[in-house]
Amino acid sequence: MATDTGCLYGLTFVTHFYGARKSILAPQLGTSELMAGQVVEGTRAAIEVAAKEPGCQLIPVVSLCVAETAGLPEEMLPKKIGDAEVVLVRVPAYAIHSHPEAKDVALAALLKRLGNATAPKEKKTLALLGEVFPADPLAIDNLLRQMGVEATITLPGRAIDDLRRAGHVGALAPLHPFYKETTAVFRSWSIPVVGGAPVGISGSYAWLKAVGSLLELDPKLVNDVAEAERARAEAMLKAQPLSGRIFVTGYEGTELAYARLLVEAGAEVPYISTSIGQDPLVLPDEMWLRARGTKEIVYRKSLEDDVAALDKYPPDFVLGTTPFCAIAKERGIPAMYFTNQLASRPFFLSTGMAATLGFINQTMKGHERYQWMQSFFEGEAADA
Amino acid sequence: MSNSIPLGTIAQEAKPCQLHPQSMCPAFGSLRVLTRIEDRIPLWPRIRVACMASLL
Repeated sequence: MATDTGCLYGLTFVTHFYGARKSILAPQLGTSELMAGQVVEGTRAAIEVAAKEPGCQLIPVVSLCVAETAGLPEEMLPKKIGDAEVVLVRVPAYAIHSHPEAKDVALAALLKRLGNATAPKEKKTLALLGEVFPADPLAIDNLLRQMGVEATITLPGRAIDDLRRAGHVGALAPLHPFYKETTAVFRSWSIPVVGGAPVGISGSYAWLKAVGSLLELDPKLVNDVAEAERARAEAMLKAQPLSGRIFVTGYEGTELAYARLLVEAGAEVPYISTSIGQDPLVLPDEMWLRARGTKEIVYRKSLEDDVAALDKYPPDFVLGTTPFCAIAKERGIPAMYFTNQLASRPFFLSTGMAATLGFINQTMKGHERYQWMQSFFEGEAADA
Repeated sequence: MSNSIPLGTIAQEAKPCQLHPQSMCPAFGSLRVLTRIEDRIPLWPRIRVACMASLL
């Protein structure tokens, strides 16, 4: 990682916190090294040390704000050292504004270098694109195989071979709407892209049909599987419908899809905010939501946007970031941290729908407890 | 003759500065993708963050 010591420390900490259990090799880039113009030399030296690891196949070089500002020309780095591919991933915060979009940049860089687009196409194979709960790709794969799909690859994944194989899959299915560079790489390989995602009743049904059509699967088989899945989702929704006004205000770039599921289940979602920028990939969900009562969708949001919405559309429940949830709770509104609570359970197809809606229904029942907490602390403040 | 330039017009019309994105450093997203790879990739599972000043 080419960056200064402060960013290196912070990112290493966060990476360990999220369980990667891997440390990061980095050149020392302090004031004296930057003044001496040693960014390239230091990074090259780090690459050489990395390449000495036995069996090394891949050395990603993550270039952050300091190295990007100082200048790290790609042509000054080796493309390959021994058997290892050296892939430069440029993710300065001043240019890549959110961490979902940095996932896209990293994956696109890896695919551009490693994707094998010259091999014969595996026509009945689908690449699923998105960092999702581990049970989700298994559920999706299980259903797709019933339709005649021979294999699925999930990206980003654990195996370098998956990156190579991605170059000759039959179609790409982005499960999240912020993979614009990665999608462009697949389009450059003439691989068709499935629109939408298997979310909720209507979304899942349309997605399964679209996959069947793009991979030229048996239409009757596809229809049977899609109808059966729709029936399961409808039965599930009937068993646990939602009501009330909910805010969806995370920073994962998946907020619109979650809002869509909640609206389909019967909730009112007047306000959604996300860290990602507006993009054509988000547009279908945005139009769907606006047609069903969503008043405001804020891209590249700030805390101030979210707080202003609390006054404008007082909600019954907030799915939000930690600081925003704290503000909602102070007002006696039940609130949950979007990332940890929702990303830690299945979401896609009827099985994901059941897990997500079950959790939200249960949490919304806690409204009276939050009100009691608020009055308790107001009483404490008055006594003090 | 000199023209006076009104100062502060833009600041008066602008929204208050909104600097709280509620998100971590974007680079974290790329690390999630890169540290996930389990094949032969030298992300040093055994060694702590290496200071390579001696190599410069």
